Amino acid sequence: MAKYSIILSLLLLYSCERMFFADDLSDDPVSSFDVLWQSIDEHYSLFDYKNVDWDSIYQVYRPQVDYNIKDDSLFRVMSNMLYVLKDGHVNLITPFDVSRNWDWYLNRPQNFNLSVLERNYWGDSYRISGPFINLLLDSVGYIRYSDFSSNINKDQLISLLKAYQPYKGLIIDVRDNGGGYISNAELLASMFINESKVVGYTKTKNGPQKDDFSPLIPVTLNPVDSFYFTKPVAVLSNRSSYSSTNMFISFMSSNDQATIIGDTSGGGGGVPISTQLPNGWMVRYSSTITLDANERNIENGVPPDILVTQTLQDVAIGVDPILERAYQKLK
Amino acid sequence: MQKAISILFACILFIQGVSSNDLEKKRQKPLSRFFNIETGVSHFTHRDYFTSSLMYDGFGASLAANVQRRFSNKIFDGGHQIDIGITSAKVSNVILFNYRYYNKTLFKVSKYKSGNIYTGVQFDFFSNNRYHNAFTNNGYTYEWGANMSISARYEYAFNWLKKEFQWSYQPSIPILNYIYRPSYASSWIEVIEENETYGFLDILGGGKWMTLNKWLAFSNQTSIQMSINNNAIRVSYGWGLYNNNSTKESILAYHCLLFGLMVNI
Repeated sequence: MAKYSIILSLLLLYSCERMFFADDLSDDPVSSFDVLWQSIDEHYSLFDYKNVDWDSIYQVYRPQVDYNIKDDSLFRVMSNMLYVLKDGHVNLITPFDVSRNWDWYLNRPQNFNLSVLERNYWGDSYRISGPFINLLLDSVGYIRYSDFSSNINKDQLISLLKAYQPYKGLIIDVRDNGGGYISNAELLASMFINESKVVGYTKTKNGPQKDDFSPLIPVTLNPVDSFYFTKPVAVLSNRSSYSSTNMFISFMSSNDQATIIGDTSGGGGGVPISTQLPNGWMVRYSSTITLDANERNIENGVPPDILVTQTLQDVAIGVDPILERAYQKLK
Repeated sequence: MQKAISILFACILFIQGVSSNDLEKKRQKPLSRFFNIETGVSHFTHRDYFTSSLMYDGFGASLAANVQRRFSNKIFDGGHQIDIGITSAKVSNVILFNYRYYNKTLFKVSKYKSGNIYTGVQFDFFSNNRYHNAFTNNGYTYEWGANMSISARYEYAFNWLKKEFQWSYQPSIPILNYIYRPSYASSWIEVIEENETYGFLDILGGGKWMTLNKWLAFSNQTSIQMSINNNAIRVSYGWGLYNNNSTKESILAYHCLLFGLMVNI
């Protein structure tokens, strides 16, 4: 009797489970397209700022998808639809390609040439301290940080910055830095303050309606114990200074000690999140709005205090006018 | 008000788990007291519509420990369970980590020749956590919560091959639930956490009292134990389901097969 009871209860338990699960969505092209459109519709944070009517976009692209469309054609239709958002944080990620809109920097001068720096400025005297290339340019320190995904820590930064404290100033080169962790941007910017400071604001999409946002949350930097860098700082920026690098530049622009030199940063103020479509593809999109200390949206970048451009002729003769302008400013 | 109720609920859970059993212990000596440690394999199925419309499915391992005290007319049972697993759907994987603490008090309501029936109340604290490493910034999704459930137990003792066995079946259905699922899944809290403005009370305030049509959390366990001297070995099969249908549906079902040693303490 007991044996049969056990078997019966196991069967009952297992069979009950599916009652509570809704049926899986079909992974056909139409369903995947609709989930993509709806995910962006409910979660994307910058429709107003970009003045995009997402409903009308659906009317344009939905008729281009049917149940028999091939994967590469479906990818093209979806990519074209996402391209309208003009957002570097919007990507459709598939096993065979990643959609992107990189116009934010491709339409502007590069304003950075690594070869020019290596051959004519760095020489062989630079140090590699964790993720930082650093050296002394006569009386001014120079630090290059190329990737905010490379983790940094407080002790490492204190040690690095103390070495340049005795000199006239410090150049922080974050050109061609495509971003990474916001926490690294906050930590680096914290090395240049001696009291807590609100350096920006953020609000996040928190519901499906277009105006469903969290309250505006201040981004507050706190000074690092026992040390802060007191000398003038120049931050070098170009259009490829994107995402958390853009945030770092925004944080530094609110610091009187710092001067932003070069081009407007690349933007990318919306923190991206991801959703998976029924066919397994993934879409990434901005879900927040980031404002600077003066409550200006930094989605399209932070303008420099001193606009300097590196021309192709400058590159040809091996000159970096942005770095040289920063040096002139600080020396 | 929400915070006050939440804190009160947390306090009830704590007090019920710690104090009431101690008071009872002073009055009456238990007939038996077993420490049970179990380990085994689990199967998970889950879907979180905020991040994906796909059903993820996979296996993992479970570790559980509990103390069970029996009196002539009641049973106290409290313990912990940890599950770790990897689930997948199409080309992507999720790492899953669940923790559950429970404490139940069951009263004998009838005794038949075919077995004993108990019924009572169970308190649970649970934390279901998932990490999808292909996602950006919202890879970590979770629900934390507490339930108060009506719980029952049927047990039947029998002899087989000159050994003493006991089979039991325990279902529980929650009647009062408090669940914290980050507003609009995890994206909001992850961004806010970057600014370190979130405290414990904020988390409680961000939770919700759920009714049965928005939140289901069944748990069932059937087990068979064989006595060996004063101790026992036990094989258990557990099945549970969490369904949170508040903002975007999130559902998790698990099955676990556990092998345990019950030590008479």
